Amino acid sequence: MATPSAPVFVARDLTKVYTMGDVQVHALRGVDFDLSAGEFVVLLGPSGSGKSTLLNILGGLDVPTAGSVVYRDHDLTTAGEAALTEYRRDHVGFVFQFYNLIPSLTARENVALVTEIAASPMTPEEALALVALGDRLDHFPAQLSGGEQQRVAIARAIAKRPEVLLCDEPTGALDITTGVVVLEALTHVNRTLGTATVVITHNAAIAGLADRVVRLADGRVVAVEHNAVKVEARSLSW
Amino acid sequence: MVRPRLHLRALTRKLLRDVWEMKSQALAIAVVVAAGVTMFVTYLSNFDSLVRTLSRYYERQQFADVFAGATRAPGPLAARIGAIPGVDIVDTRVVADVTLDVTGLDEPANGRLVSLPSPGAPALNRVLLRRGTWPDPARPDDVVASEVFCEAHGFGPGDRVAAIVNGRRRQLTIVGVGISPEYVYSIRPGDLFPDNRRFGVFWMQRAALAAAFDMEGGFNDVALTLAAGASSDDVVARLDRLLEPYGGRGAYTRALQVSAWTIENELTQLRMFGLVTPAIFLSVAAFILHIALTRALALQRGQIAALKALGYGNRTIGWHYVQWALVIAAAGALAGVAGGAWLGAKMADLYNEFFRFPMLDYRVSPGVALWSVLGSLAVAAAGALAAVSRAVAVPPADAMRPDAPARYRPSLIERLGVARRLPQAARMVLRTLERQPVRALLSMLGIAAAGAVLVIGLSFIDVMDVLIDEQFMQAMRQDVTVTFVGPRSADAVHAAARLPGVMAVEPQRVVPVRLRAGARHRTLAIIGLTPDASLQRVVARSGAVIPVPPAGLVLSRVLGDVLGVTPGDSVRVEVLEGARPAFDVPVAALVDDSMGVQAYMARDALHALLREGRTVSSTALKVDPRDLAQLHLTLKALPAVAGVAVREATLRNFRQTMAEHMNLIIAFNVGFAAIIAFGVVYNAARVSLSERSRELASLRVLGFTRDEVGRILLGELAVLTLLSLPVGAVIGYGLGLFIMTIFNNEVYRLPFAITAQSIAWSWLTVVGAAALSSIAVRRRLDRLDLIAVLKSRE
Amino acid sequence: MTRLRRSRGLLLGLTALGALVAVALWPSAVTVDLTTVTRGPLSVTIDEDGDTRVHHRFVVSAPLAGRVERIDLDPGDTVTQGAPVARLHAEPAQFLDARSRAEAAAAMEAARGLVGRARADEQRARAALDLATADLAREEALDASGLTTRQALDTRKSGVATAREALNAAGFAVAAATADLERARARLLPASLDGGGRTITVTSPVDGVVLKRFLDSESVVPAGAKLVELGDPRHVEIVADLLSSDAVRVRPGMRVALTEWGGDRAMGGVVERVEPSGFTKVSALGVEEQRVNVIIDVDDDRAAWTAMGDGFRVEVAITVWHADDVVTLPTGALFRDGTDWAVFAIADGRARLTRLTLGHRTPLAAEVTAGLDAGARVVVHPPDTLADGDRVTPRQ
Repeated sequence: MATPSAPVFVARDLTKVYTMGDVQVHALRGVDFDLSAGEFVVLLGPSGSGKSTLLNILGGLDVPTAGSVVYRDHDLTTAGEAALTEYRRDHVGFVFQFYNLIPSLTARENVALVTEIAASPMTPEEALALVALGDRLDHFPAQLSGGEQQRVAIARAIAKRPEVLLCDEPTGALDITTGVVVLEALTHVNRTLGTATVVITHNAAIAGLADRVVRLADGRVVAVEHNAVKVEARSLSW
Repeated sequence: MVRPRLHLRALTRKLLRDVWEMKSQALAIAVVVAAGVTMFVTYLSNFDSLVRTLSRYYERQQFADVFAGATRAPGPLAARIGAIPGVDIVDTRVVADVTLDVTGLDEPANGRLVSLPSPGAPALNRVLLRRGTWPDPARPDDVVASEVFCEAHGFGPGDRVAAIVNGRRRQLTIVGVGISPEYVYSIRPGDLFPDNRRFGVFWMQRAALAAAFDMEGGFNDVALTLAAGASSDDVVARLDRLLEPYGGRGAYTRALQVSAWTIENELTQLRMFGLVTPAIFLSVAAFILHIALTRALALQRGQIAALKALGYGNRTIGWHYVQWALVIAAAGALAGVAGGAWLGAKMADLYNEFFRFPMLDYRVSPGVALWSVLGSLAVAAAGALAAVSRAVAVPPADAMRPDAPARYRPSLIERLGVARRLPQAARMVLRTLERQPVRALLSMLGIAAAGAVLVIGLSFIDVMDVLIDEQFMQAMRQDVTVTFVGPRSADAVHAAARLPGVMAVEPQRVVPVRLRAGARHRTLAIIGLTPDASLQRVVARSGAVIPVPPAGLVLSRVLGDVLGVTPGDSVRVEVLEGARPAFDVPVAALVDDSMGVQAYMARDALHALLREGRTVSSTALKVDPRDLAQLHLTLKALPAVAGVAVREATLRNFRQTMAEHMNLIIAFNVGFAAIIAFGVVYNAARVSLSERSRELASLRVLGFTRDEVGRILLGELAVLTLLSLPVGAVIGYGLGLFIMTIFNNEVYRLPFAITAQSIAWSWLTVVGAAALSSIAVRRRLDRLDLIAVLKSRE
Repeated sequence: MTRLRRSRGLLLGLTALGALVAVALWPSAVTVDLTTVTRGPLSVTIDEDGDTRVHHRFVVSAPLAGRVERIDLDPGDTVTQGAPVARLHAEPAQFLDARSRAEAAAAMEAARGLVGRARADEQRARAALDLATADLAREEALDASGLTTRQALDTRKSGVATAREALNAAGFAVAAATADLERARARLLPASLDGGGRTITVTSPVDGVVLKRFLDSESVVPAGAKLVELGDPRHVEIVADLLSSDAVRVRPGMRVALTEWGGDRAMGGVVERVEPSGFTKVSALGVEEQRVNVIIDVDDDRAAWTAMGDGFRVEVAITVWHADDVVTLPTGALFRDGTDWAVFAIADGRARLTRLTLGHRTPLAAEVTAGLDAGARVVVHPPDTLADGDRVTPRQ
């Protein structure tokens, strides 16, 4: 159990507006968000509430229309493309709802993508062992089930030993059994490596895993809860 | 911080596997690149090899820089020629044109006898002995014969050829077979094409030749080399002055020597083709690549986002995708270099037929290969860069969002209210085309490029037909042209009429002159024609027959341009024979003709100028075919006859030479055009299929048959192909006209011509190629895994 | 419904494709030059060149040896009959100049010497005869005594005969030498003055024009030397030499057209006669040929012909055959089909190979005796790719 100590993220008054086709979408309307080292946070909210947008901004994949976000001492709002790339490479791990694996690379190679550019990574084998996929190293994503693919994605995300792990609906595409396995992997990583983890979901049951639950609706933070006791992934059901 | 240099290992694997995924498209693109590179390597390596071989040959065999002929100059004049400042080596010779009686040939042939010093080798224009030996000084009738002539007849050392040497028949014995830099391209003066059966060069001992032509102690031909830095114009002018009292016919530099000049022209053409044709292919390749890559990148949006999320920078990701293009182009280029090396060797063999070198050292120079590969890579990168930078610049967050449905609007035709009865499929096709008009336009232009290539290639046949019709059916309608040794009195016309089989005679007076206008001049011959001539006529490119006016000169338009004169201007005519008078003659007309540089005048006007009677230089004859053999026999024996040209033989030779090359050219044209058409259509179809596989799969699920769905997909391509047909024809026509215009030179100015048949064939080929690629894509469509497509996110 | 529409679409597509193939394979019409077979006159001529020749020529020559004064007449001057042409001074035989005289004197001396020698020979011969006679008498005396042979006697007798002959010969020799002496002496005598120093005026035998003058300046000529040639250029005939095989076809009375004589139009002439014997001549092309002269009279308006002189070049075209109304076509349309003559005649826009039989032929036209009618259109100078049945279009 990590003690919430030094803040990893400090985000203030984040606003994001984007255009999709002919439509203008206000994804975030002035959101404040903090994350401490080793913390496990769940962002909860219905679809369209701005959770993914917040995550993308935190991960340096998107820039806010207004507001500021600082990671340790890096101001992400003013960072240029190169700085953001470096930030992502060195400090952040991503897990997406639809895995976004490279279909033409094996599991091991997908992880190697990351280990080849990281400063002090694990080996791909270690990372995959961490998510219990040690025996499926040389399979292509097409040959893996949804849960296995997601675990490869997690392995890829943590192989660089990031300080932050950002997960966007990691179990959204999976059934309950597989979902549980994935969540177990996430919590295991959080405990073992001390990685600050943010998980987005619309599934309230998962909130029990977190140290803190932040509820979003319509682009705003509507509630913040702290869990005194964290539930085991194994015991979740939805 | 670890520099991101080795991280491409996983990316490299991705690259290779991704390219393998799209191998059919990649192959189509690579083939287009290969075609372009093949052309480049073929033409330019030949150019290279020819230039290299040529300069070595010229140097080793001491090819002269300046040439001049005269009637008869005294031997000691050689010393004075050598004293001209700037002259290095002087070589005087005796040169004579004679009629030959060759066994196996009905009609008389022509031979050029060139003297060999006895003993020793000539100082300049040295003969290279290929077989046999040099003539024995004790045997005056021994000759070394030109290799191409011997090959044409299957002659070798020991064979004999009869020649009418100055009125007397002599049996020349071939003791050696040789070649010379002066006759790399050996053509009978006045011919359009070399005819190695009817023209040969023979090197004979000087003593014998001089004795036969009353040249003992004298010479009638001189060649010389220039010292470094000498002014050729200066030397030519002085040489002319020295030779004038001896009937000098005008000196000229190597650049105007028939063989050297022809080769230069050929080289220029090679270089031109070698640069233009590949440019077309590579442009098309770049275009197809761009489209294919754009689509592939669209499909990889998610992966690009993932890579960015993983911390790969824009430049790294961009470079990764540009490498796709480079890999494909490199594969094509390497295949092209190999293909070009092979094809180039075949082309070099073809050159050996016409241009006889001691050995055509054909090599693909590393420079050519390197440039072709670099060029292909550069072109591919250019094609890819725009697509890649666009795809990579998309912010990762946007990249991860699903694509908005493509915007469609009712098509133009529908808005006009015309298409009420159009089936649904047709409406979908039209709307798709209108959605991305630029891409549709460019695809259509790509297919049109194939059509244009075909039009240009097939037009070559039509142009040749027009040329043959113009030269052999309209301008020269006589069966035989007999040229006399020197001008003859008018009696010769009647004498010619009495030859066996002669049905009609048209006399001509040919006078060698120098035409001068201001500072410009040209040395050629004025042909004096009978005004109402019906056998040999002056014909323009348009097909119009130009009547020769009673007074004044009719010049080829290109000659008018060279001299800078128009009808009405006067030209100074300096006669180069006899008393060598000079007059000012007005230019009556300029004729837009196809070949050579000609000057015509009415016979009577020419006689009046020269103050002579009705002298005759040559006669155009219409001959009864039944007596042709008899006529030839008679002509062979007539001492007054210098040369005999038989139209039928010339035409047959022309056709044969053309036919040999035509088939090759047609094959290549069709092949290359098909490659382009196939490449463009296939890629466009695959990209379209990829973009719309989801919606097409949905249609199938709804119950549409394979045919109906196929028609929706391929209808797009059908429309583009059909539109491209007239566009390709127009582009091809325009480009063909342009090419013909820039290839206008003093030797030929061919008219551009294309028949409806050729256009129909080009259309059929394009439609065929498009149909083939449609079938290939259709099979892929049929095998579409509906479920997988529908489940996929994109 | 859709099936019908679909098959209609397919049909449309196939039709379009078929049309394209048809265009591709359709043989295009060949562009040709056409001409019409006509009815009209045709003349076969033998063309040669000839020279003019004044028919009656008179060469006036010197009747005697003598000095002819400078002849005033120039070529082209007219003379009337009897008009003076030249003045001749018949000279006496030349007086001998000093050298000739000395030579003559020496010759006489030589002759005299020869006479002396002859006389000496005669003396010697006489002495020989006397001796021979004496020998004979002696021998006869011996014979009477029977002291000699018959042979010896015969020998003596013949010796006398020989000596007598020798004496005769010597006598003749003396006579000849004496005659020579007389001749040599005669040369030294002045000649008789018969016919010396006379001036003769040589006159013209006819009205005419001086064609040639053989002497430009005053000169001494032998008898018979040519002085001037006179003739009447109005009576000019043309001499053309024809190949003997052509001359055989020419008959007196045939019409001749004379051209290239320098005037605007052709003159008319008629063949007057064909010389019976031929001669060898080398043609302009260098072969030997047998040629026959044909004499042609000009029977056209002389007024146009006045500038013609003697020895002027003329082109003659002798009409050896003429027909007023025959079917003709240009020779440019003819070609051989096997051993027959043929043309491409146009029927329904197509070229049809039509065999012909030809009659007479000239360089420009040929008489059609069978195979074609007047009015038919034929291809002139057909391209070698033209075949029977091809579609043709006339060239504009």
